[in-house]
Amino acid sequence: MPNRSLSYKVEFDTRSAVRDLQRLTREGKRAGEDIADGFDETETAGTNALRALTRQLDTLEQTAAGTAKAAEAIGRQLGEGYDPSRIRGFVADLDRIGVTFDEIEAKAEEFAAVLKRADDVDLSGVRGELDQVGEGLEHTRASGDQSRSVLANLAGNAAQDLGELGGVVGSLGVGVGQLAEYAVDGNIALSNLAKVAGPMLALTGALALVNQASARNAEESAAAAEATNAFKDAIDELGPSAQAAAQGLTELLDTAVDPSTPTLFENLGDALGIAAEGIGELVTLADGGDGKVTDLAVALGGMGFTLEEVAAKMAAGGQTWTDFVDQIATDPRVEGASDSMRTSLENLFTAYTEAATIATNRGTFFATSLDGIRQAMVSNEEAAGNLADLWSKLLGDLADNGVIDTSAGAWNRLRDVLGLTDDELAELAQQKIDEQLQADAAAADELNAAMADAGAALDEFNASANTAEGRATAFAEGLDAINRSSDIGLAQRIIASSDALDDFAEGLAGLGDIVRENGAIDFIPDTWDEVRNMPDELRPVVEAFAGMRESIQTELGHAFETGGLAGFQTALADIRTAVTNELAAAGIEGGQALDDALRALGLDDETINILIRTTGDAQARAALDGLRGIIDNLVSAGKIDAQVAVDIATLTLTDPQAALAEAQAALEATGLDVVLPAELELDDAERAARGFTSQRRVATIDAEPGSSVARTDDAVDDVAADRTATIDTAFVQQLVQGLILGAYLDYIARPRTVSIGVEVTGLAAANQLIDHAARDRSTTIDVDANTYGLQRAIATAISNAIRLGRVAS
Amino acid sequence: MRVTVRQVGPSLADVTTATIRDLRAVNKAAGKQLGRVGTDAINAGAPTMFGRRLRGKATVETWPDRLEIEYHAAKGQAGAWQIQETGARPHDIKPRRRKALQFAGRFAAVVDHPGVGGRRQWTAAGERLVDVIGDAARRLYDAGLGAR
Repeated sequence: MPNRSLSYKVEFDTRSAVRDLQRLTREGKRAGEDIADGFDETETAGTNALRALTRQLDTLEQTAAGTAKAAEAIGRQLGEGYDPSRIRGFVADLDRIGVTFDEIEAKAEEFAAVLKRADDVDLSGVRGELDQVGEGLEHTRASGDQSRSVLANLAGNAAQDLGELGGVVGSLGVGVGQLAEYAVDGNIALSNLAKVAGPMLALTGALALVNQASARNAEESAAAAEATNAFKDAIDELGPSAQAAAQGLTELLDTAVDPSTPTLFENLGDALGIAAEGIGELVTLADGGDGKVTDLAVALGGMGFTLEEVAAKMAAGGQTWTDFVDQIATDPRVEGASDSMRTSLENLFTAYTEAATIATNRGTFFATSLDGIRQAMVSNEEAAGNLADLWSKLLGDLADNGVIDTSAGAWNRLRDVLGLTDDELAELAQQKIDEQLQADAAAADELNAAMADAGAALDEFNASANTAEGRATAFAEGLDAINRSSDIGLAQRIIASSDALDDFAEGLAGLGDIVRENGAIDFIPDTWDEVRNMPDELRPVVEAFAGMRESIQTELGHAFETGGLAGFQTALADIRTAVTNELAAAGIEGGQALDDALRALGLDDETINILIRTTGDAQARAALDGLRGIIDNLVSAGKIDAQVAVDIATLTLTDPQAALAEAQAALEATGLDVVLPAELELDDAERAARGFTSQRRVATIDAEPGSSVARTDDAVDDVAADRTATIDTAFVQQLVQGLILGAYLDYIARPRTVSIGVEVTGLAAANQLIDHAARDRSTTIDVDANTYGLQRAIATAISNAIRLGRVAS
Repeated sequence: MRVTVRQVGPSLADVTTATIRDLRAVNKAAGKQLGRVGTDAINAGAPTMFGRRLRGKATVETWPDRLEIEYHAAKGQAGAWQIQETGARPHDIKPRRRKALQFAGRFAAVVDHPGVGGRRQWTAAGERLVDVIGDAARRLYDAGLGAR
């Protein structure tokens, strides 16, 4: 048994790597399906795909034919026995770095010689500094799988679907994510992906290596960022001469950059690495530039260096130009050369070092910029929608920094790097915008559907909320509230529970006489003491009034149930008339006695108003119960602010009608065709209201200058300013119910500007109120002479409006 | 014009499936080699006690999806490693199998050992292990998965 206190345990867990690979497989399949679906979805996508594929296939055909002819020409020079694949690879390399097939064919003999010499040079050390992953990538790239362009094009337009791939492999490290993208972009052959990605996956599974890998990645990222920053700084400081010196190598770099894999060529070392594979090509190409490589070759040749030796020095010196310079400078032949030769060589080195640095930085900048564009195209729809802007910005940046010269054809090369023509770019941008618009339209349709559902629910609710049953229930609740707080109700309860009520019946017979004899008597006990000390003969009076009151309430309730407020008012007027006549017949006419009698019967102004209010509250609560679900849905749909819903719920506890008005306002603000959900009025009033709300929201309160009611002045000012309103007379009749006017003031005064014109004749108090309220306007108020409580109702309504904050107070 | 696009080479699913298979195979192969590399690192520079060079040993357990290696003292050397690591307090040494102790030609019934300080040798061995195990694992996994 090992000593556990002295042990080290190392675990290599590849489960997560396996899981991620499996996810990668799934997402890859899904992405592939999406791509296929994408092509099927729209004609534009299909057309784009066909066009792109056609273009790529044309290129492939030309490349294949050119490669075959060029390879055949070189092969003839080299004779039989030379590896054909080597020749084709060489031709592909030449093609990639910009040599045309015609040129290759024309100079087949020279190129054949170069190839033979290059193959004789020991290049084993060229890649010595590259790590294994990089080597794998390099190999993959060099393999030149011709299928990659086709695959890349397939993936191109639907590349955003591949975002999931990056997400899936994100936990495996950026490197694998990039590999996956490259693979789908077609930049590396899939057959090589495992060889490159596999080790990285395994490494992420090895605990001991995670930290090291992370540190290395961090260092590389930091180095890349530093290089980019250095380039930007360098560009700022560059003078014209430095740029001119860089031109030759920039040309080389530009032509050497593989259009589809810009990020793989992040430094000149890569470019030089390619050059080292065929030093002859480098010389040939550079001769097309400013000839400095030829100068260098001549200078070194003068010192006794052979071309092969130069290549070997480059290989031994690693990837950077300065390493190469060090290798050459320390050679005894250089040290033994004449001063003029050394000076010449040093000057050349200096120029090349400077140019190499600039070119390296340009390459980094170039790659970074392209990466930004590529990522924007792939993963950021919004950015893709603005692709034209990004493109312009990139061109501007590159032109400003001297990386491209838009007048010298470099612009075209850069455009080719992205594989897009101006038209295609515009089309792609438009496509993205269209997609966004379609998405917006779909979202709008969805929202409209939700709104339609809410509207339907609202209609259904309205249909059910205004039933006789609902009104009866609300009225009963209102009566309960009245009776609980009324004096007569209190007296009734006290009497019913009193032990001393046995002989009350005795006094009942004398009721009529007592009333006639004591017309001014206060026969409504207001307090417990009054009840205790009530003359026995009055108890039957109380009971008689209580019974009558109950009958009246029943009658009013029935009227309300069947006829709503109008029915209620009609019945109320009739009952009041009958009661007043009855009391007059009993000798009670006007004065306190009549008021007391009406109060006892629940027919006084205050009681009626309380009844209306409490009934309105009950109905408002019922309405709010019904609206709650609709409002919640609209909150979920983002059409009503959650805080508004909370406010409504809070207000329901203290002022249900105000809460209902708030709810109506909130619903109205959503754009739904809102009608008052708890309409208590008759159909004609409802029609008036609907007609009113469907008008252009302009209204007027026409009033003659009048006296003041300061409390409502500003409110009406605010509501009615610069507006005109016409309200149907039938609707005016309903103004006795404060809820209606309050709700409408609230409703119409909010986002739009609607006001009310009320025509009133008679009823001086109401006239006075409205006259003053609209004193700067002309108001004619016409109201039924029998309408009761208009003043109070309007005051209540305006008060509601003020309380709800709909108008300034 | 009719365009037919067909896949060239394995699909992404093929590649990932093959990689998963290779990954499982590597777990098995890498275990033994990592055990050997680790013990070599522990042994290199290990102290000598009573004429014996202390050594480490590895116990390897592999599963299709993970690998566990435990490095510990070689058989019979746990105590020695412990002393090399943390030292020993002063103590008496008494004979266990004979009647007396013999040391340098002298006999004694008991010897008063003055104690010795620890030299953190096992810790140092662990540091050597950590130094090599990461690269070794990377190398082995790379090779096992066909990295070039």
